[in-house]
Amino acid sequence: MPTLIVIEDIKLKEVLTSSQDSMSAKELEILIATIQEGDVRQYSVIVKAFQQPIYRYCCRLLANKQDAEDAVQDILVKAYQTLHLYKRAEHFSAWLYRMAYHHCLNLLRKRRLHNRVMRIIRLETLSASPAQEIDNGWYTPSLARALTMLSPEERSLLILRVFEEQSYTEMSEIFKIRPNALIKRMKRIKRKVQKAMNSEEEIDWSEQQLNVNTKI
Amino acid sequence: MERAAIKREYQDIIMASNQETLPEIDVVERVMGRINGLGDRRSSFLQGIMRNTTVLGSLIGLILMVSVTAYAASEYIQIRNTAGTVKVQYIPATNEAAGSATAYHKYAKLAQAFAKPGELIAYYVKDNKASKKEAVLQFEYKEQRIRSYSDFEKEIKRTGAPKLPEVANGYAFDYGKVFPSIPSTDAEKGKAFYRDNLRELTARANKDASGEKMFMKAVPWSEPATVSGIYTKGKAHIGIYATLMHGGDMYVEQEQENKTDKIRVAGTEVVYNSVKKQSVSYEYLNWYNEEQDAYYTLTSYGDKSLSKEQFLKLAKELIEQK
Repeated sequence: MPTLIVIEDIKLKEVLTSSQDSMSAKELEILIATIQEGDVRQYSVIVKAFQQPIYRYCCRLLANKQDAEDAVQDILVKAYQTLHLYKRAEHFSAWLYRMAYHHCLNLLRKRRLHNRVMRIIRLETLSASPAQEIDNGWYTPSLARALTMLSPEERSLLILRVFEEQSYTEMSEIFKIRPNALIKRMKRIKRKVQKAMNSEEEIDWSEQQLNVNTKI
Repeated sequence: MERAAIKREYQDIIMASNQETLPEIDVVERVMGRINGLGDRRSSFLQGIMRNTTVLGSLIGLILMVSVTAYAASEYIQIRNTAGTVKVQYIPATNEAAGSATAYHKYAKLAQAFAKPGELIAYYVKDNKASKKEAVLQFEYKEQRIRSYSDFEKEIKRTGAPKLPEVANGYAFDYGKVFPSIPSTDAEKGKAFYRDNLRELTARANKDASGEKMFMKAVPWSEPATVSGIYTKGKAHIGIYATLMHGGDMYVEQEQENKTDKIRVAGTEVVYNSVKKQSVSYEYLNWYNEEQDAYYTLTSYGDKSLSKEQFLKLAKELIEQK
């Protein structure tokens, strides 16, 4: 058995909502070490544990259930392929969420090009506009509109804080931003969203054209 | 404690979101299958690329290159609309393959075999192993090359796609294509068009006792996603492609070998792209038409290519065309 660095107990029981058997942080680290040593089969336990929270996160960020389900698979495969790079100095969930964030960001960027140009050439289907991508029943029109005014990172922060109920410490590890800076940033994001929501309520939603901000 | 504080602090945002619980997913088998077959998948991917290239020929090769596109290493091109919003953003090219949905490949081929040119096929694949999963409708469009310009005009009129000219820089119209917009987001999947067809096909699947797995039908369509025209003079060709952005943004991947030059033509910013690699070099032009909310690509290929001046002149004609 490899030497393990025992990290502080994170809220794994909350993270591992899809797993029948929740693990302690120590158990998780042992499991990862076992996989890193070559026991591929054990990775199914990781998949089972993290598929649902990562799926929820991707759903909110991509606002599309099917894309989110595809993304979860890609993220978990990618995580396996790069598991040798994972260092136990940080929480595995933070490492995985960061990977999920970058994956979704890439998807949001690629939607523009690949869905609208390459798929034509490949005789495949085309995606709809980003407006429709976010106006999908997940949010009221005013909140959907407000979200389009946020950068992907801001949207991701909001989703993790509000819908995944993550602590600033957890978010800090994912985004490599100090908790104090995150608190200030969240206040700005909240103000931005509330302001946009309030102003939007006065406008006829059906005539609005959304424009998702996916700038890097 | 913190959870309760979050709920209080963001109450209005939480209330403005759908409180519906997301469906449970189970991707363990699929992920482990992919992990166990990583080597096989890699070779399948390469075979897929080769097959596509073979089938679609040299024109497609050019457009694939176009789609990976121009990039001046030191800067990222942006095109803004009159309100100052970035509508076209160049981004660094990535090496990742686009998309991962290959599970339906064989059914897509069956749908292609079933379809007549110009038809959009909706199909449903019965999956007994995933009875708890949400039923999904897939679509496949069979390309139709419209050889007569008057028929192409009729199709443009029917779909409301941007009009393309009959002649381009003295090159005669060879053929045109209009591709349909296909439901792929949750919003579109909530509409009657998607729901009704899904209901019909799943009902057929549920009644079926023959063991059939795939159920499909041709569905009428009218909303365009792209329109393109190919023009020919001898062995030289010009391609004009307009991609409708439907209120969204266009992201264009750029390779480092590509040099770009942003020029104003008839009041519109156009990007002249010059790609010089060891094996191939080519030029093309892009611009955003705000009125049509469409992204244009102009290409030239064959035994001779347009000069930069000819490219810009043709772009000017297309931009000024009403």
